Amino acid sequence: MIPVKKTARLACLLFLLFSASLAAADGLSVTDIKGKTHSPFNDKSVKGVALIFITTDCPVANYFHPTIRRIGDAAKEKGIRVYLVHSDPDTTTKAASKHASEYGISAPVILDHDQNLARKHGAKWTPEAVLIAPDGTITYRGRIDNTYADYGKKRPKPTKEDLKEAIDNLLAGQRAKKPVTTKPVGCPIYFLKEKPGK
Amino acid sequence: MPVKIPLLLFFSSLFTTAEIHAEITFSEHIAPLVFENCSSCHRPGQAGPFSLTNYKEVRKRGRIMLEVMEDRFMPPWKPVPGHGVFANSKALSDEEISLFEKWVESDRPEGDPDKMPPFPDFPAGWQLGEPDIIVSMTEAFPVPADGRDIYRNFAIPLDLPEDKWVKAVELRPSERSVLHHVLFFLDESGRARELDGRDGKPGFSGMGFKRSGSLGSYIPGAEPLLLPGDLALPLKKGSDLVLATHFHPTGKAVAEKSTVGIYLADKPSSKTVIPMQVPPAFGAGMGIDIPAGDSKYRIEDSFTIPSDVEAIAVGGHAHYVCQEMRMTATLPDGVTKPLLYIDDWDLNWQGSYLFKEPVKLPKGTVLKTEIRYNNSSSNPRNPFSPPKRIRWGKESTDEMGSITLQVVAADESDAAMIVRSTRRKTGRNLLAQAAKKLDGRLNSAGQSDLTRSNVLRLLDKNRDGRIQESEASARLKESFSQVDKNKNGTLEEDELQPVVEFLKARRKR
Repeated sequence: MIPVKKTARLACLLFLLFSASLAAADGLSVTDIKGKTHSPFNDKSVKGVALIFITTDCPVANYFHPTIRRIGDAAKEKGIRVYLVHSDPDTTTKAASKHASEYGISAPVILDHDQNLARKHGAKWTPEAVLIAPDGTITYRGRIDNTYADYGKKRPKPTKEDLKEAIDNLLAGQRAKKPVTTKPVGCPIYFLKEKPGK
Repeated sequence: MPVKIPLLLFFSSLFTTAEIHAEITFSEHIAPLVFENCSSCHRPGQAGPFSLTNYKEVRKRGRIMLEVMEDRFMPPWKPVPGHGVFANSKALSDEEISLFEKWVESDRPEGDPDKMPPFPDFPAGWQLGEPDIIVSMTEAFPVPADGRDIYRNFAIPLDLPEDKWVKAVELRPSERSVLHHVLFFLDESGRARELDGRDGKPGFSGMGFKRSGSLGSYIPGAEPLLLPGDLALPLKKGSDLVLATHFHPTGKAVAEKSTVGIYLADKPSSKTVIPMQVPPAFGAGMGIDIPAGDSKYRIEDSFTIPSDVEAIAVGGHAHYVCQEMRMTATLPDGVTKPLLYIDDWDLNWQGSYLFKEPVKLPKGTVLKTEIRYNNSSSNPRNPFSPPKRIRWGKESTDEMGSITLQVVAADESDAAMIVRSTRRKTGRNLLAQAAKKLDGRLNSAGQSDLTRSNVLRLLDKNRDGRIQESEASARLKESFSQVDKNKNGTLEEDELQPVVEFLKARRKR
């Protein structure tokens, strides 16, 4: 009896795991503020997707736009797609477009008004990057780099370029068992139905 | 603060924690705190990157507000509470932060909007009213989207036909977010004006002009303050205003053109505002030489006040690897008074802190400054990775270190004597440094015998038997006139005795 129970539980677990990852891989379909829908993993040449959570008025997130653009441009030809995500219900299409043109953002900008993209990918900060492999697994979640050691404590240059490293590792096929995570410095995402005490 | 903490604490024994949290509402407790401490900058058109003016805005930002309060990053205020009592203090108390934390950790309730205090009536334009003089940068300075922070000086001709007295200076940026801070200097020589624009861009880099005065600074979050009583700072006719500006790229390319308002006094200051810098000359005489990786390098210097004074304000200056600075006064009766303590020095927030009440310091009071540097990789602000040896210098990647106490004499007739005394102190410090260097050179030249003739031989490059100012080391030049007793513009062998005595005293230590 006991082994059967165990096997059943394992099967159940496996099924859940698979369905979750399948859902993630199939489910990554986003519509940008220009109305264009992106389903990046339908394209077999895409090797990874970086969702970068931002806000229009977080100074730390804004500081990183030139860096994000450089990383995105360099990784594009290697099959990495970058999307910038606003998970703030108050950010309108108009505000996001204005922000994108002011900061020279070329990547598609996504409005995540129901905050489901942030919840699903475990993003809690802006700026925070989530790197997703074609099979839906998250390989990295955290800061862009370590320029900010803390609020108001900026290094003259980053000494660790975490997102860039994570992309290189993904492209090289090196994958840790669990996603690599770092703690971002910036502005926390306010989830409207946030549980007290977080 | 009209917050009912004692009442709340009293009731806390009667209710459960959840019920207590329910007691803290935006309208009654959080709005007064935020309106008083945050909203003056965090409102449309001001320096704060987002607005904190109503319930919805504050509810959304609750978490980050708490983080930066706990970090003591906001409101921007560097002095550690308990070391000096300041008129313009922005520091939140632990109780205020704890109250805010409880609200954030609860459901961030709004409470009864009728109980909310009215939003303060902040001035829309100039914070101190219409200034007497309004000038602008002659041209906007372009700041790129990213890259290193930029330090740039802008000379603004004032073309004043007569001497004036300044009560306050207020700066209004055109691009608030990119302007980190500005120091207001005066230049009587016209040198800054000459340098401006030489490299093809507005302004100039480096401190290649002699500052003839200082009129304070602009720091986001600090309201401009009028000097107390009838005190005012001199502004000599023909002086140019120099804005020593620090820009920090924000991700967006912009161009900044600051406007400056100067508020004048209608009569000369009743007393001379005297800067007492310890150590003097921004630490030039301290031989600052910080080994790479040293996280505990210290300097210490003191100055004995020669006559009764009242301290008005205090502020520090150092660069990136400085971490801690402290000034303490020891009165003749042995009582110590902390005047300033900053435990997380940040070059980007160098404020001047006005004492709430003038601090009386009697004759014989010893002012002591202690400064600690962290030149290891554990200091994220370290300009070098890996760390490098850092010495005293004028570039921002060199180091300096001093605290300046602004004082007035209790009896104005002592002012000139006090100023002379601070100058002598400067001379002594610089001479000590010159002597140290000279001694090193004597030793390495194999002339370790401390004689006047050896000192002369070392410095007399043109072999005319005397030392011209051009032959003196940079530091000796600064004290040249003191050593040159007969004031003939050269140092003869018999005048070198003080230098030799200095060297001897040094070796004995």
